Amino acid sequence: MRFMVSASTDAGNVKTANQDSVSVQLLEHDGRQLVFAILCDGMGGLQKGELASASVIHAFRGWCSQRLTVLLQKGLQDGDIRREWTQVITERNEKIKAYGRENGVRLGTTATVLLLTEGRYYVANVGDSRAYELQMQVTQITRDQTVVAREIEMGLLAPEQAETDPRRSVLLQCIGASEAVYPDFFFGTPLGNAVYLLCSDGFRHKITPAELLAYLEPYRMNSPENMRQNEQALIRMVKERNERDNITVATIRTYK
Amino acid sequence: MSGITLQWLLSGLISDGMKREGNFREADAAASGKDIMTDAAMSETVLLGVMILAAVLLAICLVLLLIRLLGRRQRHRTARLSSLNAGSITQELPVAEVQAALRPVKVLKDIVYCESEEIIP
Repeated sequence: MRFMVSASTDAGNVKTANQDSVSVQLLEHDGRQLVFAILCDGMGGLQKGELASASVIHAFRGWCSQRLTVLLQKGLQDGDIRREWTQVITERNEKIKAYGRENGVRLGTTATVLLLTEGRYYVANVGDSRAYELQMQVTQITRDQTVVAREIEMGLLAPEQAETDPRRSVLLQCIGASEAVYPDFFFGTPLGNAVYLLCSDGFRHKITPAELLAYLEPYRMNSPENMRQNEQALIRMVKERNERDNITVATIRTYK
Repeated sequence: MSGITLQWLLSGLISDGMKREGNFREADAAASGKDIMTDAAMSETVLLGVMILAAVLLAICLVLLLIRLLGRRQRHRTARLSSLNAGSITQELPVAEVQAALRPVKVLKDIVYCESEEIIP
C-alpha cells in the first residue's frame, strides 16, 4: 500500500493567532511506506494555546524519530504503541502544567495522533479533534472526549441537540489542563483507496458528513495537489459559514 | 595397481596376523590370496573397487571438513546480530536499537505547521 499526504490550516475569521498545530510525515522503512500524523488544537479560551499544541507536536515528532524505527524493527504491537504514546502524553501534560504554574497562564491542547502502516492503523485521541476514515461513507474513528459526547452516550442528549449545545466545546480532558490524562486508543486495518482525515473541531463544525465525502472522497484525491485544493475548498466553505475557530485538516490517501 | 601388490597388501598382512594367533588354516588361505573365511580367491577387481571407493569417501570427508572450517571462520568475521547471540555477549545489548540505527526510517515528505516557534522543553 502507498500513501499521499496533505495538510492545510487557517486562523479563521476571528482569531489573529492560529493555535492549531499539525504535522504529517510520509515515511519509508524497508521499502514500505507509512504515515505519522499529529493534529493538536490549542485551547481557544486559554492563553498560549499555540505553545501547548506546538509542544505536543514536537514531543511526538521526537518519539517518531527516536522510537518508531526501533518498534518497527521489533514488530509494531498495539500494546507498545499504547504504552509509549501514553507516556508521551502524560509527560507533556506534566510539563505543560508546570509551565503554566510557573508563568501564571492557563494553556492546553487536544491531540489526535495517527500512525498508518500497510496492515494496521493506530490512533490516539485526547479531546475533540477527530480522525475519520472515508471511502464509500464517512466513518468517525475517534470518540470526542466532551461533555456533550458523554451525554449522548448516556442517552441524555440527542446528536442533533449536541450540534447547537453551548457546551459542545467543553472538554472532559486536555493535555496541559487536566490533573491526569487518559487517551483513547483505536486500532484497525486500513482500507485501500480510502482517505484518512484528521481535523480540529473548527473544520468540522460547519460541514456535514455528506459534504465531507463530496469533497474528500478517494477518487477526488488523486494527487497531493488535488488533496490540497479540496482541503482549501472546504476551509473556504467553513469560513463562509462564519466559523470562529481555527481550522485545520490533514488528509492521507491510501492506494495500491 | 598390480595383483601382486594387492596380494601383499591384503593377504600377506592378514596371513602374518593369523599365524601369530595360531590360526594356521586361515593364515595359509590368506597367504595364497584367498578369503580367510571361505578359502575362495579374492577378486582383484573387487578389491580395487573397494580401495577406490574408500579413497573417494575420504576425499569427500576432507572437502566437507574444509567447507565447515571456512564457514566457521567467515561467521566469526561477520557475527550476525540476534537476540540469541546477544545474550551470550551481554544481556543488555539493545539489538532492536542497533538494527534500527542501521536501517533508519526515511522521511519522504514532511509537512509541519506550528505558529509558536517556542516549545516547552
